[in-house]
Amino acid sequence: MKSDEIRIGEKTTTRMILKIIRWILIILVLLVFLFPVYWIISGSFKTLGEFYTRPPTMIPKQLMFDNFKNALSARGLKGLIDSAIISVTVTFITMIISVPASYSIARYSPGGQQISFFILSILFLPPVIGVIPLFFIFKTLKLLDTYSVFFLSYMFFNLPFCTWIMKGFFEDIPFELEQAAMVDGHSRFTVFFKIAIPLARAGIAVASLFAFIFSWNELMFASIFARHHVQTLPLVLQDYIGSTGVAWGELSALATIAAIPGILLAIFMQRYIVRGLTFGAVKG
Amino acid sequence: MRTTVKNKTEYDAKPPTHKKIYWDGKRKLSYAMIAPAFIILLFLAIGPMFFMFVNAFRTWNLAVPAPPRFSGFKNFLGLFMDARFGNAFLNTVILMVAGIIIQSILGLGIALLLKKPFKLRSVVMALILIPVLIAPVVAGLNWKLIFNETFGPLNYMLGILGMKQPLWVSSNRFWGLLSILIVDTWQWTPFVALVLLAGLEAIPGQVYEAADVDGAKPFMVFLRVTLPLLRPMFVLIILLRTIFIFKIFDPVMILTQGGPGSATETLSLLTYYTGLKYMNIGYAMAMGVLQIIFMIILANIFLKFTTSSKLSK
Repeated sequence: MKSDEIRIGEKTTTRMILKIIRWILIILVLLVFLFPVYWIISGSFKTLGEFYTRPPTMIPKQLMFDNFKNALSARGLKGLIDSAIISVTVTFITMIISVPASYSIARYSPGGQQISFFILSILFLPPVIGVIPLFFIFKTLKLLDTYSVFFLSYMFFNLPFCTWIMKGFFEDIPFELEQAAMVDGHSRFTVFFKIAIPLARAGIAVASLFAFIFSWNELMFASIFARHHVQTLPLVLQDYIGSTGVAWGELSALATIAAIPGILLAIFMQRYIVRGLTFGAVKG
Repeated sequence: MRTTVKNKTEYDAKPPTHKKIYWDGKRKLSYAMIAPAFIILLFLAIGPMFFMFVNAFRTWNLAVPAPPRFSGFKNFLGLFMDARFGNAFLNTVILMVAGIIIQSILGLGIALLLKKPFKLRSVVMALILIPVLIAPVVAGLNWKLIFNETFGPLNYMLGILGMKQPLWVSSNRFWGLLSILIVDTWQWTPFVALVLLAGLEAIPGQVYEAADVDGAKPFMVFLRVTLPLLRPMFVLIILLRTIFIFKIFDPVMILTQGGPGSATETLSLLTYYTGLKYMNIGYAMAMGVLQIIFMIILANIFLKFTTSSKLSK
C-alpha cells in the first residue's frame, strides 16, 4: 500500500520533470528560429553606433522610426511600390490562367500524364537554367527592364506551382456533385464557376498567397531582368549589401518591411504551408 | 490526415470511367482550359530549353569578338576537366548531403517534441514556420549581421563560452560553406519538422498499443516501430531537399558571393557567373544541360514516388 503511493508520487514527479524539460526544449527551439527574425526587426530601431558595440546591443535604446523614414525616402520606396505592383499583378494573372488549367487537369487530364510531368519538371528546374536563355530572348524582344518582363517571367515558377497545387484541391471535390448539377441542366461553365471554384476556394486562396510570396521574395530573375526602371525590394536590399559603408539601420528597416508578408503568411496559412511546399504530397 | 495516393493505373492503363462520362464529347473544352497555361509554359520553358541545347554544342563567348560556331562536345569535355566546375559540383553535393542529414535529425527532434498536443501548439508551429516563408534575401541579411566576426551576437556567444571565434562567411571554404549550411538549415528545418510531424500523427494509435502490450521499451518502439513507419516521409524529405538544395542560389549570393575566390560556389551560382558575368554562353548552357538531366531524373522519381507509394494513411 505505502510503496504503491510512493511509486505514484514518483511517477508524477518524473512526469513533471519531463514536462519541464519538454518546455525548455520547445522554448530553445523557438529561440533559435525566431532570434534572427528578432535581430533584423530590432536592428531597424538601432542607431548606427548601436551596430558597432561589443557586447552587441540586444535591445535598442529607443523606439525611433528614422531608419524606416530614411529607408523609404531613397530607393526603398520605389522598391516597395514595384514589388507590390509586380507581386499583385503576377498573382492575379497566374490565377486567371492556372485555375482553369488545374481544373481541366484534375477532371480530365488532357494530354495524359505527360502534361502533369511537364508541369512538375519545370518546377524542379534550377531557375538559373531558364534565366540565361530568357535573358537573350527578352533582350531580343526589347522587354528587359519593364514590368511586363516580370509579369511574364515570374510565371515560370508560379504557373506550374499553382496549377499543381490547385489540381490536388479540385481532385478532392467529389465529381458526383458536379455531375448531379449537370444532370439538373446546368452548363459546364456554371458548374465550374458555381460549384467547383467555391468548393476549391481554400486551394485557390493558398495558391494565390504562395504566388504572391514567391514573387515578393524573388531575387535571381529580378537581378537579371531589371535595370533602373524597375526595382524590387530584394534587389534594393542586395544593392545595399554590396555598397560600401552599409547603413545597417536603414537596411534592417527595409528588410523588416520585406519580411512582413512572409511572417503574416506563416502565421495565417500554417495549415497549408506543408501541403504547398511538398507539392501536395502531404495534406495536413 | 490524408496523402495523395493516386493509383498508377489511373493514368496509364485506362482512365476511370467517371471521368469519361463527365467529359464525354467535351475534350475540346478541357484542352481549351489548359491551353493558355500550356502556351505560356511552352514559351518560358521549351524556348529556353531549345536555346540551351543548341548553344551547349556551340562555342559562343560574348567576351570574345567571334561569332558562335558549332563545336560538338567540346563544352562538355571541357566541363569534365574544369576544376572550378568540379568544385562547384562538390560544394553542391556537400551542402545537399550535410543539409539533408542535419535537417532530418533536427526536424525529427522537433517533430517528436511537438507530437503530444498542448495548448499553444499551433502558435509554436506558426512561429517556427516564419523562417520558411521569409524572403531568402532577408534571411541572408539577418545571418550576415549575426555572423559578423566582431560585432555579431554569434561570435560574442562563442566568446563567452570560451570557444574559437571564426571569421565565418569571409574566411575560407569550410566556414563559408558552413555559414550557407546554417542559413539553409535555419530556413528549412521547421518545414522538415512539420512534414515529419504529419507523418508521426498518421501512425495509428493501435500500433503503439500493440507494442505496449508486447512490453516493448519506449526506445525500442521508437527504433522498431516509429522510424520504419516514417520511412516514406523521410524519402519525401530527401527528394524535396535534394531538389531545392540542388538549385541553391540566394543564400550563397548574399552571404559569400561564391568567395573567397570561387571556394564556395554552387552549381547555380557558377552557371550564373559563367553565362551572365563572363558571357561564356555555350559553356554555361552545357552546365545547364547536365543540371537538366539530373533534375528530370529526380522529377521522375518524385512523381513515381508520390503516385505509387502509400506515403501514409
